[in-house]
Amino acid sequence: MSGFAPSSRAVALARVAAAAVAVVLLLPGVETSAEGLPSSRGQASAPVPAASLAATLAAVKAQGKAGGRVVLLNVWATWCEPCLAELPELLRFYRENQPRGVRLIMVSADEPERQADVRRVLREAVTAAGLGTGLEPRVFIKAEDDTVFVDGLDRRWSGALPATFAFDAGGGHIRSWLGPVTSLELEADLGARPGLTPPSTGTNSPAPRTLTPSRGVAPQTDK
Amino acid sequence: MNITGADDRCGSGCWAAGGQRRRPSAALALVGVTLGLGGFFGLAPAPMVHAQGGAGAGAALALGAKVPASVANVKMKSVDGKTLSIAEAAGKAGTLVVFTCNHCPFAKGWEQRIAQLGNGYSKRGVGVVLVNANDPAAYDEDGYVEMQARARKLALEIPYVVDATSEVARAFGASVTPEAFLFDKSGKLVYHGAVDDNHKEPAKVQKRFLQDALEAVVSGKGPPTTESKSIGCGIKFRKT
Repeated sequence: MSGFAPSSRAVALARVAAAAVAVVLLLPGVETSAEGLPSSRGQASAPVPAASLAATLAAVKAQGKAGGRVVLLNVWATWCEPCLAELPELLRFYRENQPRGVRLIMVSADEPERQADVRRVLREAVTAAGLGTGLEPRVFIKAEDDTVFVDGLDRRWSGALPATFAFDAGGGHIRSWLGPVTSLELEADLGARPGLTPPSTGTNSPAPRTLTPSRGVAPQTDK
Repeated sequence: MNITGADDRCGSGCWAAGGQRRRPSAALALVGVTLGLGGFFGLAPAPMVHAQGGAGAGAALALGAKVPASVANVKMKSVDGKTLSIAEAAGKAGTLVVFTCNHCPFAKGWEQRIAQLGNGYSKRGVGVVLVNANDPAAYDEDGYVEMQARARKLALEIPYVVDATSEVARAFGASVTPEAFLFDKSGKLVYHGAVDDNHKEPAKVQKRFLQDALEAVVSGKGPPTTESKSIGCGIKFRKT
């Protein structure tokens, strides 16, 4: 194995991503937001768009072009307990840093037939996090070969969920968190990017380099 | 058969292998550099935070590596009450170590196929060990009694053992379940990754990574695919 993420293959795939996104946007029932991305806004039962690796990376770049300074891409699943335990942390960080240019895209590894669960779980989490209308994270369901998807995001990633990746405004990969991450750790790790960290939230706190896997249990999951 | 290596985790080509292997001191230095500069100048690979790193795995064994000497002789308790090590389980044709568990939906999806492959190729000279490195404190379903029940249900004819400290998984750099490591008859890792490309629907499998690799190994050939990935559950490592 060689190279670092995104791989050259991923970059090449991204070149055709605009076409892939265009296909997504043509799907019936998928609302198009001002940023040109599929949105669940106001559609409780809207289908969750499927996304290939190319479409995922294109969505990241589109968020950057639409003003995002750091785009977080979280890969999760409704059956994944550590993912659900992490979700409030992720949404908290997004809520607090969205005004500073943080954007969030969530790619579910659930099966397409579970898209109603994906939508429900995310809607509940968004509500609990106090995210206002229009601030819901973009959500997709992965539609890609696992090896291609995993290696395309970061060759160092084994595929274990959850995983979170950060990209700059140009779509360049700047960091990976392989495993559950907290809002504090996101702040610490991304705080070096000028203007991202709120002045009032402890920018001088030490940045943990290792995390303890969350064990929060959502009763409806996994088993 | 020699299946162990004194320096399995990091040979001379450590960092060159795509960031998968590195000497600790070099790694620390590089982390420092990338944390300081990489995010701003784009000169270094994107930093990675192994969120489970403190209690979990590092980079996985690289192709060509042998079973880490530090754990090759670790005795692990199997579902039949006996203990064995990977060195003891090694076969003349090759050795297959699969990190798996009871609770994970992906492990469940593949468990029948893992059992069939393990039972079948163990009769063709491949030593097979299924290893559960999960902390049962995280999932009751991963407890020893539950493992015994699962082994009966699957009619396992191969060992399903407890990695009681998760040290074997850590030494392999395993991080997801299920995750297969196949060593050839000379003890070198020749395949690492998923069972196949569809955990849920066996009828829709198009790429039988592990079966093809096993067939190649018993035939004395190289696997057609040497590495694959699968979305799955992170190993719930025991506290150190």
